[in-house]
Amino acid sequence: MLDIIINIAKKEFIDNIRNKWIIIITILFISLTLLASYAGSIYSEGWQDLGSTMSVMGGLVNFLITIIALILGYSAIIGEIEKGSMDSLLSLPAKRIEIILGKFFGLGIVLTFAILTGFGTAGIIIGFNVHNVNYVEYLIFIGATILVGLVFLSIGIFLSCLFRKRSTAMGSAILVFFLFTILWRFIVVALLFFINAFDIKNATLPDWYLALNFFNPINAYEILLSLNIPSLAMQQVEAITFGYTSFLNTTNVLIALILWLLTPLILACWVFKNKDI
Amino acid sequence: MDIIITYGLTKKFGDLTAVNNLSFNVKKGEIFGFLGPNGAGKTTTIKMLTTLLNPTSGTATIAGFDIIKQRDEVRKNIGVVFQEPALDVELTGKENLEYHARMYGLSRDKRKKRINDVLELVNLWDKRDVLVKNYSGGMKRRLEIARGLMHYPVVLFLDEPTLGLDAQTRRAIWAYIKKMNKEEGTTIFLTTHYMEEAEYLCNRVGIIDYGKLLVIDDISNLKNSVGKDVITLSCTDADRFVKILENEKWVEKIKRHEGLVTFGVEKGDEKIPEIIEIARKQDIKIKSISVRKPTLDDVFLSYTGRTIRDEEGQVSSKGRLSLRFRGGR
Repeated sequence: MLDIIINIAKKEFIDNIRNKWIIIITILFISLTLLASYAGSIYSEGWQDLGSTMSVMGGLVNFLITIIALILGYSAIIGEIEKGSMDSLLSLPAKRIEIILGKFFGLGIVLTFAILTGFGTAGIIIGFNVHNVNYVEYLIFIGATILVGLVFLSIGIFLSCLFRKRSTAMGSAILVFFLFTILWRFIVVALLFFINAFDIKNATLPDWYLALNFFNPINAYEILLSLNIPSLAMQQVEAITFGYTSFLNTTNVLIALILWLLTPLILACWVFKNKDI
Repeated sequence: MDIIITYGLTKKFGDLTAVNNLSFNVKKGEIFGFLGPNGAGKTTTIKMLTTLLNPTSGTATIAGFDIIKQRDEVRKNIGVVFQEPALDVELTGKENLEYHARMYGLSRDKRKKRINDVLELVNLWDKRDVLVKNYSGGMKRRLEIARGLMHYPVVLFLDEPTLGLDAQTRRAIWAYIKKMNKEEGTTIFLTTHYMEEAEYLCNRVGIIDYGKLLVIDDISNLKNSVGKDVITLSCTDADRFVKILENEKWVEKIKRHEGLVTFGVEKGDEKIPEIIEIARKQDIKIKSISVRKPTLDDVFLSYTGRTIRDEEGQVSSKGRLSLRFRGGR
């Protein structure tokens, strides 16, 4: 089983090297990080340290990683079905679960490689130009970014299995992107005021509202960063104003992100197993 | 020895019966052709035999393994080349074969030797390190066939192996198919829209229409069933002339099609004056008449009452009918 998963993953990785995807994403990450460090602050000129760079990068990375991971994932299965090459793949002695896992690991390596190389290279360049670089915080930032990237890759692959047309899968991926990056904030705030649960007098948010952060992987990612990277905590308005409630801790947020990664993947395996090609 | 045996193989999609109670055998080492018009059920049959679709009822065995109960064993014993290209264009020819061989768990030494062998077989050794996206259509098809052979399959399924290729490349592919059948002893099960392809390659053919197997036999037997010679004529009052000819004992399997009357006879050349005389006596004018040896087209016409061309809505006026379907279920 492992041999087949590795074989499929390896082919996905080589494909993405040859079609220049990895190079494009990596260059994009290097450029944005360096740009954020050198020109990201309006208060000072020249290179900023990694903490400041991560603060500037924070919001940008959310959008970028989400869309890249969804693009990589949404066509993984339906793309092969529409091309007609899935029949050939299914005629090989590979189980459908092995195909899904091979695709996930292959594309996951592509994403991980691009994030590590892109942010890593930029981090080293910044390190040469500024003093007191906190590489541990930067590694946490990279690790969390990889994790949220894999979450959206997993969602993308699930959408790829769910629909019978590539265009529908793409549309649903765009919808997921807007839901989690933009619409979510409006929805939960509207919900909060609709239920009239915002206690202005005590300036506290209800637990259910804070718990909603678990249902959006981007929120979970942001909380994970601000809990573990002090320089980024300042970015979180809710954290400043209200402080995080006790259940929003690193362990729970990590569990939420891992569940976000595994659930779509398991659903993808189940849907694909029962799909008539 | 029978390498493929089907037992009442049936596939339904809702109310539509795509394949209806198919029972036939394919012998080890033969090239078997599966002919039928668009939507006849050829591709559905291949998909069931290659374990991609579950039959609604009935079953089949490939090399002794049941297609429902022993899917993994079946897959290890077959190679498949589908209509749609399934090569990875970002990989080289050699890398595509490597990938395929690894999926079948071939050891490193075996892989190396086998890749050399199959690339030599399809004459692509010189192009082994070229990215597939730079291959021509014919080269891609040859590589697909080579890939299908990588793991020493007992049976190779070819679904429209020369679809979309020019006549010259088609001929070259035929030569490779013959070669691998001869040199590797691989049983080949192919579907085709080209009647001349079936005639050139196959030992036996089965004709399928509306999901039902109409006939299965050696090509020579099928042709003889139509008659030693085939006469095609165009005349006035064709319906009346058909009725008159039907009463003649020497006329076999007479059909009217697109204003033409076609039937089989013994010694066609000698019968032409007699036919003209019958027509003259009945005051029927014969506009044209020709005699030729029967082809699979005539066999198809005699069993279905139409040519494959009718299904396609395409007319070829260069002597013979160009008999080709697109797609399939």
